[in-house]
Amino acid sequence: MPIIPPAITIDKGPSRDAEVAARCHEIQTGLGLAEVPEFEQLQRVGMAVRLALHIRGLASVNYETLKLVANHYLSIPVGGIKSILEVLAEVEFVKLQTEGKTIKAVIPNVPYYETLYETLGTYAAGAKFNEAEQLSVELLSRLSKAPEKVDTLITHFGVETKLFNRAFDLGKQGAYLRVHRSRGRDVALSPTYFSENSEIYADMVSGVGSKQVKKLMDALHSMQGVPLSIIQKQKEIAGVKFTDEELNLLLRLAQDGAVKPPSITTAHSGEQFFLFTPTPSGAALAVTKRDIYEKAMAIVAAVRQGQFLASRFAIRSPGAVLYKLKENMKLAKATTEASQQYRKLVVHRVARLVDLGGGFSQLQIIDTLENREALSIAYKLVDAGVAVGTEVDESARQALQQEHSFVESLVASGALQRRGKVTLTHDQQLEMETLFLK
Amino acid sequence: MKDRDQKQKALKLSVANRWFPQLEVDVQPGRALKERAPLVTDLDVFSSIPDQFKGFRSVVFDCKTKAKESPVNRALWLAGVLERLQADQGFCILKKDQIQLDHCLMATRLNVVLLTEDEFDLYAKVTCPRYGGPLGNVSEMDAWEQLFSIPSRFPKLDSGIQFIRSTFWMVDDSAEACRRCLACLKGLHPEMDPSKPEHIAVFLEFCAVFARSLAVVVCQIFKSYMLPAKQTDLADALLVMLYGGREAYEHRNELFKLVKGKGTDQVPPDLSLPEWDRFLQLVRQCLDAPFEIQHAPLILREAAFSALRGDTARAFAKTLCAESPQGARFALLIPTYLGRAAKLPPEFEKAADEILIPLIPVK
Repeated sequence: MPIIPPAITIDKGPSRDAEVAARCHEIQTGLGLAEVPEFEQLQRVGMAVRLALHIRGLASVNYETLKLVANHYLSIPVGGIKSILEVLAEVEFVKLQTEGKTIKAVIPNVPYYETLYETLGTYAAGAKFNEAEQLSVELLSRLSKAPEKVDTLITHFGVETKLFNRAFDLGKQGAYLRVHRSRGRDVALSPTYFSENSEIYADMVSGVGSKQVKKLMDALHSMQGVPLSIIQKQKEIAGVKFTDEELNLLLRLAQDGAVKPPSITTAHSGEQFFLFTPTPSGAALAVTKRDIYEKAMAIVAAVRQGQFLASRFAIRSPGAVLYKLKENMKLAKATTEASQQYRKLVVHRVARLVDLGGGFSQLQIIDTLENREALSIAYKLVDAGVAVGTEVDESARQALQQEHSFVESLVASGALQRRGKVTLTHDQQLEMETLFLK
Repeated sequence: MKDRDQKQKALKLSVANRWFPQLEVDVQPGRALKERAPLVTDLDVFSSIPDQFKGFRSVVFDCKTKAKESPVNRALWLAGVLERLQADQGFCILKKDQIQLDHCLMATRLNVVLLTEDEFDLYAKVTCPRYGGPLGNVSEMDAWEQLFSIPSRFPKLDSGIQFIRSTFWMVDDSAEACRRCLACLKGLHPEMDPSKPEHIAVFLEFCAVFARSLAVVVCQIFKSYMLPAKQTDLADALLVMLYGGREAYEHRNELFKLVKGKGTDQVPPDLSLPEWDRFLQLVRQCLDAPFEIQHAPLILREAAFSALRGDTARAFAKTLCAESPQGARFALLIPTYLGRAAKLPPEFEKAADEILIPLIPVK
């Protein structure tokens, strides 16, 4: 009988509430310091997720330091910090050290695993989003899986065109939604998921519809880093069969670089492309993590090469190999294939190949924090299909742990954060003017 | 109380070194035939030393004031006690002017340090500069006497005090000690009254010993799993540890479900600690700084004693928290879990927060 404790849903995928919290986080990350008049709760929830992620595991944080760091690094307006902390205190993610009504320090108790998103998602559900907030969350939720035609979206959501257009305007300003016109049709997509070559996706959706694109994305998600040639040969990924038309679609995606294929060239299998879904963490991918994520993809590609395209000794369990690498920082056995298979990792400064003579080389990871993190992300990409931990900006966390005076000088030396304001629509302006006339 | 001065010194040395001391531990025979087995002996001071590999090492202080006491005989006796308690080191403090050097050497080979009262002071001053400084309520004999006298005013709390000073220390396995700690506090919950400072002190004392065993569990989990990537991995590991292995867990779980499911059509939940998700999160939080939680027991005990003695300044507790900010955070999170899991009135958690939150250092 398996030992499965009660009330744990983590492996069943994120719940609806958790997804709402994650989308709020992405929208807020995109909007940054911009204020949107319609968003009452959404931005609060988004900021709460963002702040919670960055203070998780810290001992205690001086409130004054927190205000500076949150504003400078996390784009949370100083005026809003207190109410965000109140949200976090309400869901028991923080305890507050206070003197009268003044907050002195914040003591984090932010949960790990899905509980963070689930709890804040449940809070969001209780906070009751207005129509504009619901629409934005739903839109991003749908578009994170695949781009869609605007007409289809309007029919699906059945909301007024005015409201719909406003949601798109906000999305464009927040850089989490984009509309491409292709083949005479408007196609909406989320650049946070389909950041590069979005016009190709738009064109494909106009041409063949979003379902097929979504099918490809889902299949790739289940086996990140699969070699293109293997898909072409087997016409399937992890049991999902593809038609020739779909294969051509995938080929086009790869050729145009839309699915970011790293390549490995070996004598025995030629140049191989390894396919990944677009950036798995969406807008929440912290800028500081982009390099690390690319390293992680290179690691996965190298292991998939050994799994599917080995010259003699195939890797049976890529997850196990990555786990070993993560633990031991080197591969136990030297092989003759290592030098070609892992060359890209040397280029990315992830590892070095130690020549043991006779054509045998051993892979040894260069022990840096970034490489350890890249290995960890690579393992999660293979194990769960997603990159975890890419949403935290380490410089913000480091700043939170410094003395207050140090952070003041740090922040002063950087550029001032400017607060933006999303302008009201024409109709909203009219409404407001009428209101003042009354 | 016998040997009061010597015990006071042992307490001071322990606290100065930031070890977690327990005064007067009644040693039980372990496997006994009788329901109420006669005690084997009592230890004057039993201190836990934070250790990165074992969680804690432990040291036994034996205080003897009789002039006729044979030092070498005490050393041999103490060596047996160390074995029974799986302790690492013994100190024997004797009221003598001199101890035979050869006897001292033999005792050292048995991991026992034989010292006269004067030598003990010298040992303490040389090994720990903080020995002469302020060492808070935990190092005061008065405070311990106040704690042990609680059952005379509140007889229903006697089993709780007995657990803290004896039963807890007799459990070899730390995960089991966690479970039993929770069970004992849960048994006391109808008697616990948050309006009484003594009851708040007993609650924080439970938190302190719970933290002592949790620190070992966290250390073991960290060494085996580092930071578990999935909640299910952490849950499986903890269940196996808490219930003494996979088979033992499955056996208990079957019985639990059989009893729980009787008379209902619903499938009963699996056996786990109360507030299981909170427990998992607590352990995961502690894994952020797995060795810092070893400082939480002393912080919690000092907080308990300050509540007992009405010390609202809590200067020494603040010093301890400043030395280990993460330890202070874990000390704050433990009462939140334990109070809820033991179904205590919420005022206990609030009272603990009011004591502990102001102790957290602000940079």
